[in-house]
Amino acid sequence: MINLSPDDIEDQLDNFIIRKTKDQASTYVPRQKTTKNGEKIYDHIPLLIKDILASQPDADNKGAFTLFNPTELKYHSCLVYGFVAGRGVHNKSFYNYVLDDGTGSIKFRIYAKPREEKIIKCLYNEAQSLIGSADTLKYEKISTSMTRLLGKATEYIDGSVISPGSNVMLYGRPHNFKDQISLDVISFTMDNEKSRSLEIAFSESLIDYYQSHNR
Amino acid sequence: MSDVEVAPPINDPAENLPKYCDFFKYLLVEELVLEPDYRQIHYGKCAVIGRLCAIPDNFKLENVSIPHLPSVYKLPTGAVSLLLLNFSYENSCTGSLANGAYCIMRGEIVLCNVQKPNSPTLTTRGLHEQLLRLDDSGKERSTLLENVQKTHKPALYVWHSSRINQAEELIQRRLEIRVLCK
Repeated sequence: MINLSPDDIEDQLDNFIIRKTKDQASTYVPRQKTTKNGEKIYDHIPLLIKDILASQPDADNKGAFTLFNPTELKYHSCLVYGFVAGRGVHNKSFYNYVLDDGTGSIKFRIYAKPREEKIIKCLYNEAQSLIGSADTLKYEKISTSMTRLLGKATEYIDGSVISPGSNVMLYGRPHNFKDQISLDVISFTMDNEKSRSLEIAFSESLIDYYQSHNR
Repeated sequence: MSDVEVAPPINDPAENLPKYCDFFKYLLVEELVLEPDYRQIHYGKCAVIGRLCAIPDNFKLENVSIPHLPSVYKLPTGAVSLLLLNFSYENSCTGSLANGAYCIMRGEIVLCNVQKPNSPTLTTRGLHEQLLRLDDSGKERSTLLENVQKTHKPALYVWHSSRINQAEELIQRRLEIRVLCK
Protein backbone atom coordinates (compact mmCIF):
# COMPACT_ATOMS: atom_id res chain seq x y z
CA MET A 1 0.00 0.00 0.00
CA ILE A 2 1.50 3.26 -1.00
CA ASN A 3 0.88 6.03 1.46
CA LEU A 4 0.23 9.26 -0.40
CA SER A 5 -0.36 12.44 1.53
CA PRO A 6 -1.18 15.61 -0.41
CA ASP A 7 2.32 16.95 0.00
CA ASP A 8 3.87 13.72 -1.07
CA ILE A 9 2.66 13.56 -4.59
CA GLU A 10 4.76 16.45 -5.83
CA ASP A 11 7.85 14.92 -4.28
CA GLN A 12 7.17 11.65 -6.01
CA LEU A 13 6.92 13.35 -9.33
CA ASP A 14 10.45 14.62 -9.66
CA ASN A 15 10.79 13.16 -13.10
CA PHE A 16 7.27 13.80 -14.21
CA ILE A 17 7.52 15.51 -17.57
CA ILE A 18 4.80 15.00 -20.07
CA ARG A 19 5.39 16.40 -23.48
CA LYS A 20 8.42 15.21 -25.30
CA THR A 21 8.02 16.62 -28.77
CA LYS A 22 9.90 19.86 -28.52
CA ASP A 23 9.50 22.05 -31.51
CA GLN A 24 12.00 24.85 -31.11
CA ALA A 25 10.38 26.96 -33.79
CA SER A 26 7.08 27.18 -31.97
CA THR A 27 8.45 27.80 -28.48
CA TYR A 28 7.10 31.02 -27.07
CA VAL A 29 9.73 33.69 -26.54
CA PRO A 30 8.82 36.66 -24.36
CA ARG A 31 10.19 40.03 -25.31
CA GLN A 32 13.11 41.30 -23.27
CA LYS A 33 14.96 44.54 -22.85
CA THR A 34 18.44 44.99 -21.46
CA THR A 35 19.13 47.98 -19.23
CA LYS A 36 22.36 49.95 -19.02
CA ASN A 37 23.53 47.74 -16.14
CA GLY A 38 23.06 44.67 -18.25
CA GLU A 39 19.91 43.52 -16.45
CA LYS A 40 17.27 41.76 -18.49
CA ILE A 41 13.70 42.94 -18.07
CA TYR A 42 10.98 40.80 -19.57
CA ASP A 43 7.67 41.71 -21.15
CA HIS A 44 4.68 39.44 -21.91
CA ILE A 45 6.12 36.71 -19.74
CA PRO A 46 3.81 33.86 -18.67
CA LEU A 47 3.71 33.68 -14.87
CA LEU A 48 1.95 31.91 -12.01
CA ILE A 49 -0.18 34.01 -9.66
CA LYS A 50 1.76 32.71 -6.67
CA ASP A 51 4.91 34.30 -8.11
CA ILE A 52 3.24 37.57 -9.07
CA LEU A 53 1.96 37.93 -5.50
CA ALA A 54 5.47 37.36 -4.19
CA SER A 55 7.14 39.87 -6.49
CA GLN A 56 8.60 43.14 -5.31
CA PRO A 57 8.82 46.50 -7.06
CA ASP A 58 12.32 46.88 -8.46
CA ALA A 59 14.13 49.82 -6.91
CA ASP A 60 16.47 50.49 -9.83
CA ASN A 61 14.03 50.23 -12.68
CA LYS A 62 10.81 52.17 -12.52
CA GLY A 63 7.74 50.09 -13.27
CA ALA A 64 9.62 46.80 -13.12
CA PHE A 65 9.03 43.99 -10.63
CA THR A 66 11.35 41.28 -9.34
CA LEU A 67 10.51 37.74 -8.36
CA PHE A 68 12.52 34.72 -7.24
CA ASN A 69 11.41 31.37 -8.60
CA PRO A 70 13.70 29.60 -9.07
CA THR A 71 16.12 32.36 -10.02
CA GLU A 72 15.82 36.12 -9.97
CA LEU A 73 13.67 37.50 -12.71
CA LYS A 74 12.69 41.05 -13.59
CA TYR A 75 9.63 41.90 -15.61
CA HIS A 76 7.39 44.76 -16.67
CA SER A 77 4.31 42.96 -17.89
CA CYS A 78 3.07 39.40 -17.75
CA LEU A 79 0.48 36.92 -18.99
CA VAL A 80 -1.73 34.90 -16.66
CA TYR A 81 -4.47 32.40 -17.24
CA GLY A 82 -7.11 31.50 -14.70
CA PHE A 83 -10.61 31.14 -13.45
CA VAL A 84 -12.61 34.23 -12.49
CA ALA A 85 -13.41 33.36 -8.89
CA GLY A 86 -15.25 36.49 -7.89
CA ARG A 87 -16.34 39.99 -8.67
CA GLY A 88 -15.23 43.09 -6.80
CA VAL A 89 -17.05 46.40 -6.65
CA HIS A 90 -17.07 47.96 -10.09
CA ASN A 91 -16.71 51.72 -10.33
CA LYS A 92 -16.71 54.40 -12.99
CA SER A 93 -13.20 53.71 -14.24
CA PHE A 94 -12.58 50.03 -13.41
CA TYR A 95 -14.15 46.63 -13.50
CA ASN A 96 -12.79 44.60 -10.58
CA TYR A 97 -12.53 40.83 -10.38
CA VAL A 98 -10.58 38.05 -8.67
CA LEU A 99 -8.52 35.58 -10.71
CA ASP A 100 -7.48 32.13 -9.51
CA ASP A 101 -5.04 29.85 -11.34
CA GLY A 102 -4.69 27.05 -8.80
CA THR A 103 -1.54 28.53 -7.26
CA GLY A 104 -3.04 31.66 -5.71
CA SER A 105 -5.68 34.28 -6.23
CA ILE A 106 -5.14 37.88 -7.23
CA LYS A 107 -7.38 40.91 -7.72
CA PHE A 108 -7.37 42.39 -11.18
CA ARG A 109 -8.94 45.45 -12.70
CA ILE A 110 -9.83 46.34 -16.24
CA TYR A 111 -10.03 49.96 -17.27
CA ALA A 112 -13.45 50.91 -18.53
CA LYS A 113 -13.19 52.43 -21.99
CA PRO A 114 -16.49 54.30 -22.40
CA ARG A 115 -15.34 56.27 -25.46
CA GLU A 116 -14.19 53.23 -27.41
CA GLU A 117 -17.25 51.28 -26.37
CA LYS A 118 -19.54 54.01 -27.60
CA ILE A 119 -17.77 54.35 -30.94
CA ILE A 120 -17.83 50.63 -31.58
CA LYS A 121 -21.47 50.36 -30.58
CA CYS A 122 -22.41 53.22 -32.95
CA LEU A 123 -20.51 51.62 -35.81
CA TYR A 124 -22.15 48.30 -35.01
CA ASN A 125 -25.62 49.84 -35.18
CA GLU A 126 -24.76 51.58 -38.40
CA ALA A 127 -23.61 48.34 -40.01
CA GLN A 128 -26.66 46.57 -38.67
CA SER A 129 -29.03 49.08 -40.19
CA LEU A 130 -27.42 48.57 -43.60
CA ILE A 131 -28.38 44.90 -43.63
CA GLY A 132 -31.73 44.46 -45.19
CA SER A 133 -32.35 47.98 -46.41
CA ALA A 134 -33.52 47.58 -50.00
CA ASP A 135 -31.26 50.00 -51.85
CA THR A 136 -28.08 48.67 -50.26
CA LEU A 137 -28.59 45.01 -51.04
CA LYS A 138 -25.18 44.89 -52.70
CA TYR A 139 -23.51 45.83 -49.40
CA GLU A 140 -25.19 43.09 -47.46
CA LYS A 141 -22.17 40.80 -47.34
CA ILE A 142 -19.85 43.53 -46.19
CA SER A 143 -22.21 44.85 -43.57
CA THR A 144 -22.85 41.36 -42.17
CA SER A 145 -19.16 40.74 -41.67
CA MET A 146 -18.80 44.26 -40.27
CA THR A 147 -21.41 43.54 -37.58
CA ARG A 148 -19.66 40.31 -36.74
CA LEU A 149 -16.28 42.02 -36.49
CA LEU A 150 -17.57 44.89 -34.41
CA GLY A 151 -19.52 42.53 -32.18
CA LYS A 152 -16.33 40.60 -31.53
CA ALA A 153 -14.43 43.83 -30.92
CA THR A 154 -16.79 44.78 -28.09
CA GLU A 155 -15.90 41.54 -26.31
CA TYR A 156 -12.28 42.61 -26.16
CA ILE A 157 -12.96 46.12 -24.95
CA ASP A 158 -15.90 45.84 -22.62
CA GLY A 159 -14.70 44.53 -19.24
CA SER A 160 -18.25 44.00 -18.06
CA VAL A 161 -18.63 40.89 -20.23
CA ILE A 162 -16.46 38.90 -17.80
CA SER A 163 -18.53 36.96 -15.32
CA PRO A 164 -17.42 34.89 -12.34
CA GLY A 165 -17.06 31.29 -13.40
CA SER A 166 -15.49 32.04 -16.76
CA ASN A 167 -11.89 31.54 -17.80
CA VAL A 168 -9.71 34.38 -19.00
CA MET A 169 -6.19 35.01 -20.15
CA LEU A 170 -4.90 38.40 -19.06
CA TYR A 171 -2.06 40.55 -20.21
CA GLY A 172 -1.21 43.13 -17.61
CA ARG A 173 1.13 44.79 -15.17
CA PRO A 174 1.34 44.22 -11.43
CA HIS A 175 0.23 47.13 -9.32
CA ASN A 176 1.56 47.63 -5.82
CA PHE A 177 -0.74 49.42 -3.43
CA LYS A 178 -0.01 49.33 0.32
CA ASP A 179 2.09 46.19 -0.20
CA GLN A 180 -0.81 44.43 -1.85
CA ILE A 181 -0.12 43.25 -5.36
CA SER A 182 -2.96 43.39 -7.85
CA LEU A 183 -3.00 43.27 -11.62
CA ASP A 184 -3.80 46.12 -14.00
CA VAL A 185 -5.09 44.53 -17.16
CA ILE A 186 -4.03 45.86 -20.54
CA SER A 187 -5.93 43.32 -22.61
CA PHE A 188 -7.87 40.12 -22.04
CA THR A 189 -9.31 37.12 -23.88
CA MET A 190 -12.13 34.91 -22.68
CA ASP A 191 -11.82 31.14 -23.02
CA ASN A 192 -15.02 29.33 -22.29
CA GLU A 193 -14.84 26.60 -24.88
CA LYS A 194 -15.00 23.00 -23.79
CA SER A 195 -11.71 22.19 -25.50
CA ARG A 196 -9.71 24.61 -23.30
CA SER A 197 -7.08 24.75 -26.02
CA LEU A 198 -6.02 28.18 -24.86
CA GLU A 199 -5.45 26.92 -21.31
CA ILE A 200 -3.42 23.97 -22.58
CA ALA A 201 -1.35 26.18 -24.88
CA PHE A 202 -0.77 28.69 -22.11
CA SER A 203 0.31 26.01 -19.64
CA GLU A 204 2.74 24.62 -22.21
CA SER A 205 4.51 27.94 -22.62
CA LEU A 206 4.43 28.55 -18.90
CA ILE A 207 5.97 25.17 -18.08
CA ASP A 208 8.56 25.53 -20.85
CA TYR A 209 9.42 28.93 -19.55
CA TYR A 210 9.84 27.92 -15.92
CA GLN A 211 11.83 24.85 -16.89
CA SER A 212 14.18 26.84 -19.10
CA HIS A 213 14.87 29.05 -16.09
CA ASN A 214 15.57 26.09 -13.88
CA ARG A 215 18.60 25.11 -15.83
CA MET B 1 17.42 51.56 30.82
CA SER B 2 15.43 48.44 31.00
CA ASP B 3 15.56 45.87 28.30
CA VAL B 4 12.37 45.35 26.41
CA GLU B 5 10.95 42.10 27.63
CA VAL B 6 10.50 39.60 24.92
CA ALA B 7 7.49 37.41 25.46
CA PRO B 8 8.37 33.73 25.35
CA PRO B 9 6.99 32.07 22.27
CA ILE B 10 3.54 30.74 23.08
CA ASN B 11 3.13 27.13 22.25
CA ASP B 12 -0.34 27.43 20.85
CA PRO B 13 -1.64 24.18 19.39
CA ALA B 14 -3.91 26.23 17.13
CA GLU B 15 -0.78 27.23 15.21
CA ASN B 16 -0.41 23.68 14.03
CA LEU B 17 -3.94 23.40 12.73
CA PRO B 18 -4.27 23.18 8.98
CA LYS B 19 -4.69 26.54 7.26
CA TYR B 20 -7.63 27.14 4.97
CA CYS B 21 -6.53 27.04 1.35
CA ASP B 22 -8.14 30.12 -0.15
CA PHE B 23 -7.42 29.39 -3.80
CA PHE B 24 -8.66 26.53 -5.95
CA LYS B 25 -5.76 24.13 -5.74
CA TYR B 26 -5.80 21.48 -8.44
CA LEU B 27 -6.09 18.08 -6.78
CA LEU B 28 -6.55 14.55 -8.07
CA VAL B 29 -9.55 12.43 -7.15
CA GLU B 30 -7.08 9.73 -6.07
CA GLU B 31 -5.33 11.97 -3.54
CA LEU B 32 -8.59 12.74 -1.79
CA VAL B 33 -10.20 9.33 -1.87
CA LEU B 34 -7.19 7.14 -1.12
CA GLU B 35 -5.79 9.15 1.79
CA PRO B 36 -5.95 6.76 4.76
CA ASP B 37 -5.26 9.46 7.37
CA TYR B 38 -8.11 11.96 7.44
CA ARG B 39 -5.94 14.49 9.23
CA GLN B 40 -3.91 14.84 6.04
CA ILE B 41 -6.81 15.61 3.72
CA HIS B 42 -6.80 18.96 1.97
CA TYR B 43 -8.57 21.72 3.91
CA GLY B 44 -10.19 24.44 1.84
CA LYS B 45 -10.92 25.21 -1.76
CA CYS B 46 -9.87 22.98 -4.60
CA ALA B 47 -10.53 22.16 -8.24
CA VAL B 48 -10.84 18.54 -9.29
CA ILE B 49 -10.96 17.16 -12.82
CA GLY B 50 -12.86 13.94 -13.35
CA ARG B 51 -15.66 12.03 -15.03
CA LEU B 52 -19.16 12.61 -13.75
CA CYS B 53 -20.96 9.49 -12.61
CA ALA B 54 -24.64 9.64 -11.79
CA ILE B 55 -25.78 6.87 -9.49
CA PRO B 56 -29.20 6.64 -7.86
CA ASP B 57 -29.51 9.25 -5.10
CA ASN B 58 -26.23 11.03 -5.64
CA PHE B 59 -23.38 12.03 -7.91
CA LYS B 60 -19.77 11.00 -7.92
CA LEU B 61 -16.68 12.22 -9.68
CA GLU B 62 -14.48 9.43 -11.02
CA ASN B 63 -10.74 9.65 -11.47
CA VAL B 64 -9.24 10.00 -14.94
CA SER B 65 -6.24 7.92 -15.92
CA ILE B 66 -3.10 10.00 -16.37
CA PRO B 67 -1.00 8.57 -19.21
CA HIS B 68 2.46 9.76 -18.21
CA LEU B 69 2.30 9.05 -14.50
CA PRO B 70 4.73 6.40 -13.17
CA SER B 71 2.93 3.06 -13.38
CA VAL B 72 2.90 2.54 -9.57
CA TYR B 73 0.57 5.49 -9.19
CA LYS B 74 -1.49 4.93 -12.28
CA LEU B 75 -5.13 3.88 -11.98
CA PRO B 76 -7.55 3.20 -14.83
CA THR B 77 -10.29 5.77 -15.37
CA GLY B 78 -13.19 5.23 -13.01
CA ALA B 79 -11.25 3.13 -10.49
CA VAL B 80 -12.03 5.45 -7.58
CA SER B 81 -14.64 8.14 -7.13
CA LEU B 82 -15.30 11.15 -4.96
CA LEU B 83 -18.73 11.91 -3.54
CA LEU B 84 -20.24 15.20 -4.73
CA LEU B 85 -22.45 17.33 -2.49
CA ASN B 86 -24.60 20.28 -3.52
CA PHE B 87 -24.61 19.16 -7.15
CA SER B 88 -27.47 18.41 -9.48
CA TYR B 89 -28.07 18.90 -13.19
CA GLU B 90 -30.30 21.87 -12.40
CA ASN B 91 -27.67 23.85 -10.55
CA SER B 92 -24.75 22.85 -12.77
CA CYS B 93 -23.19 25.90 -14.33
CA THR B 94 -22.94 24.52 -17.84
CA GLY B 95 -26.15 23.04 -19.13
CA SER B 96 -24.56 20.19 -21.05
CA LEU B 97 -23.34 18.04 -18.18
CA ALA B 98 -24.43 14.43 -18.36
CA ASN B 99 -23.46 11.06 -16.97
CA GLY B 100 -19.97 10.19 -18.19
CA ALA B 101 -19.00 13.77 -19.07
CA TYR B 102 -15.55 15.07 -18.18
CA CYS B 103 -15.64 18.17 -16.05
CA ILE B 104 -13.84 20.45 -13.62
CA MET B 105 -15.57 20.76 -10.27
CA ARG B 106 -14.65 23.57 -7.93
CA GLY B 107 -15.59 23.76 -4.30
CA GLU B 108 -14.61 22.85 -0.80
CA ILE B 109 -13.54 19.52 0.66
CA VAL B 110 -15.62 18.25 3.56
CA LEU B 111 -15.91 14.97 5.44
CA CYS B 112 -19.42 13.69 4.99
CA ASN B 113 -21.17 11.23 7.28
CA VAL B 114 -22.33 8.52 4.88
CA GLN B 115 -24.17 6.51 7.51
CA LYS B 116 -26.42 9.37 8.60
CA PRO B 117 -27.32 11.42 5.54
CA ASN B 118 -28.03 15.11 6.14
CA SER B 119 -26.02 15.24 9.35
CA PRO B 120 -23.59 18.17 9.60
CA THR B 121 -20.36 17.74 7.66
CA LEU B 122 -16.90 17.86 9.16
CA THR B 123 -13.71 19.41 7.84
CA THR B 124 -10.11 18.42 8.30
CA ARG B 125 -9.66 21.32 10.67
CA GLY B 126 -12.76 20.39 12.62
CA LEU B 127 -11.31 16.93 13.04
CA HIS B 128 -8.03 18.37 14.33
CA GLU B 129 -9.94 20.53 16.80
CA GLN B 130 -11.93 17.59 18.10
CA LEU B 131 -8.71 15.64 18.57
CA LEU B 132 -7.14 18.52 20.49
CA ARG B 133 -10.01 18.58 22.96
CA LEU B 134 -9.31 14.98 23.91
CA ASP B 135 -6.74 13.69 26.36
CA ASP B 136 -3.14 13.50 25.36
CA SER B 137 -3.06 9.79 26.06
CA GLY B 138 -3.54 8.97 22.42
CA LYS B 139 -5.98 6.17 23.02
CA GLU B 140 -9.11 8.31 22.88
CA ARG B 141 -7.74 10.08 19.87
CA SER B 142 -7.18 6.94 17.90
CA THR B 143 -10.68 5.68 18.73
CA LEU B 144 -12.16 8.97 17.51
CA LEU B 145 -10.09 8.80 14.33
CA GLU B 146 -11.16 5.22 13.73
CA ASN B 147 -14.80 6.09 14.25
CA VAL B 148 -14.66 9.06 11.92
CA GLN B 149 -12.92 6.97 9.31
CA LYS B 150 -15.70 4.40 9.54
CA THR B 151 -18.60 6.80 9.27
CA HIS B 152 -17.25 9.66 7.15
CA LYS B 153 -16.02 9.89 3.59
CA PRO B 154 -14.24 12.80 1.92
CA ALA B 155 -16.62 14.68 -0.36
CA LEU B 156 -16.57 17.77 -2.53
CA TYR B 157 -19.11 20.48 -1.77
CA VAL B 158 -19.53 21.82 -5.31
CA TRP B 159 -19.70 25.55 -6.00
CA HIS B 160 -18.98 25.55 -9.69
CA SER B 161 -18.79 23.00 -12.45
CA SER B 162 -17.82 23.21 -16.10
CA ARG B 163 -17.59 20.66 -18.84
CA ILE B 164 -14.30 20.02 -20.64
CA ASN B 165 -13.19 17.78 -23.46
CA GLN B 166 -9.48 17.16 -22.96
CA ALA B 167 -9.44 16.04 -19.34
CA GLU B 168 -6.20 14.04 -19.51
CA GLU B 169 -4.32 16.87 -21.15
CA LEU B 170 -5.46 19.38 -18.57
CA ILE B 171 -4.75 17.13 -15.58
CA GLN B 172 -1.21 16.49 -16.76
CA ARG B 173 -0.42 20.13 -17.20
CA ARG B 174 -1.94 21.01 -13.85
CA LEU B 175 0.23 18.37 -12.22
CA GLU B 176 3.31 19.68 -13.92
CA ILE B 177 2.50 23.17 -12.70
CA ARG B 178 2.20 21.82 -9.16
CA VAL B 179 5.67 20.34 -9.53
CA LEU B 180 6.92 23.81 -10.51
CA CYS B 181 5.41 25.30 -7.35
CA LYS B 182 7.00 22.80 -5.06
